[in-house]
Amino acid sequence: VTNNNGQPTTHRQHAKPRLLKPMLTDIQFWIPLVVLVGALVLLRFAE
Amino acid sequence: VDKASAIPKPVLSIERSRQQKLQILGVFCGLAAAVWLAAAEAPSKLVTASVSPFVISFMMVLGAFVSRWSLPALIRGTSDVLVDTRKVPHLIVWGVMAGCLWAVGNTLSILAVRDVGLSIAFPLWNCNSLIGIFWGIVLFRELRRAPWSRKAAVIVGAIVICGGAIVLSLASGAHGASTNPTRGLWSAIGAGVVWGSMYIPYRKAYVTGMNPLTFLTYFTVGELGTMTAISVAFLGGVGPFWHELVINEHILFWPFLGGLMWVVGDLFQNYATKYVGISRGIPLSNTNQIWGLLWAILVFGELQGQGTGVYLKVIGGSVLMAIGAAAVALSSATGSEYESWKEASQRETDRYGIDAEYVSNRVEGIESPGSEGPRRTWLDGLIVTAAVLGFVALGYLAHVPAIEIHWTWLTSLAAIMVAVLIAVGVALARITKFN
Repeated sequence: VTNNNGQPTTHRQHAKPRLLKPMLTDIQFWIPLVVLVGALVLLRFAE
Repeated sequence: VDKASAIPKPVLSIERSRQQKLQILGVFCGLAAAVWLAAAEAPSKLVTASVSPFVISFMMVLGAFVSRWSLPALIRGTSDVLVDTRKVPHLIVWGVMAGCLWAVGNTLSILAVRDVGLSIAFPLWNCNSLIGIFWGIVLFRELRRAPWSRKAAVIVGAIVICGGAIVLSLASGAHGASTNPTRGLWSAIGAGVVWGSMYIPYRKAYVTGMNPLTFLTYFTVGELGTMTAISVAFLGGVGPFWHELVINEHILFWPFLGGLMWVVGDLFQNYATKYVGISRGIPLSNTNQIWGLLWAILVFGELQGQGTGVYLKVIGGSVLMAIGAAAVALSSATGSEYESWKEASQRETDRYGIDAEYVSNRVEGIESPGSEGPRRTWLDGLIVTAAVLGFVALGYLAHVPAIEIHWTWLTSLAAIMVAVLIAVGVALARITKFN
């Protein structure tokens, strides 16, 4: 198994998943979040 | 070396046969989900129209919350949820977000029915499976590299299922007075978009290999939190909300029971999403409309004395749904499409630094090497006991409403549900050990 630079991953890289930065740059995080915020705004008007 | 390379690699053929087995399992999970999701609505039919829809939704979500914590405890133990979480902690965010999306979508659907009636609102929000297919193709590489015949079968099949659902809703849904048509239409479309986008977190969890039992445990946190906030806001504060619960204590058990059945259906739907993807799993589970109508007609005697036109719509809609479901079920993913799925998994492994072995094993429903497997502790016993006591307490307070119920049909449908639960549950246990 190699990392993004093609080097073998260390045990530490396996043991500790990355969290915040990849999440904040992940389109799969922003699309449902934007839909959720939009739906809450719609809910405010539909009430 | 030449001789060795000329011999077909048995590992690949084993992999392909496992993929085919998982595809068949996923299809049956989708169909089982339809049976249980439809039945989940049945207990709420025992509640009179005078009860606030927010009270019914809240109790259903509470029942789901209790069940979603106790069923994983019963099946694989809470410790397994924690082990799974440690491997992919970022997915907690997606699990909670999916729960929030469900609760907001559910509220929009309630408001849409209030404003334009079920027969107009339902077809609009039922577009959620098509939105889910769109996200599956765009974000998770589903149907990529699949032959055109299979792509067409899945997409046309999903559209036909939607068409069947619309015809059934025309037969079953009474036209309510349109108090605010524009607002109702936007609410219904909003519910469809929200539910369709809810499948993004679902699939993200499963291309990473997460156990559906773990995902749904976090899902319920977002779901219950959002549903409580919405109920309190819509009913005018904590005091009025509590008052509504107290004055309706005799009916609280029914939606609570519906929540349990809904969790079973949702679990099957999530296993379907894991093993056949959004594009096949969601259209199959959306055939729940047929089963819902069977409950309405056979058990609760709805649509009796209606004209021939209504029955023709029921038959026509059901046939359309069955044809669409068959088209989707028979268009399993080919080896090349499966490679495309693996690329989506690889993206997650690279981006979040997840153990590649964990992902590749769990995506195929295999226990990670070195894993101890399911292990139950005293905590699991405590959770299950508390859940059972909750059901007993609410059941003790419950009154059976004086409405006509055809018990023979109820028993028959319940027997089918149990048979489906056992058959698909045993298959899941044997093939994936509920991974």
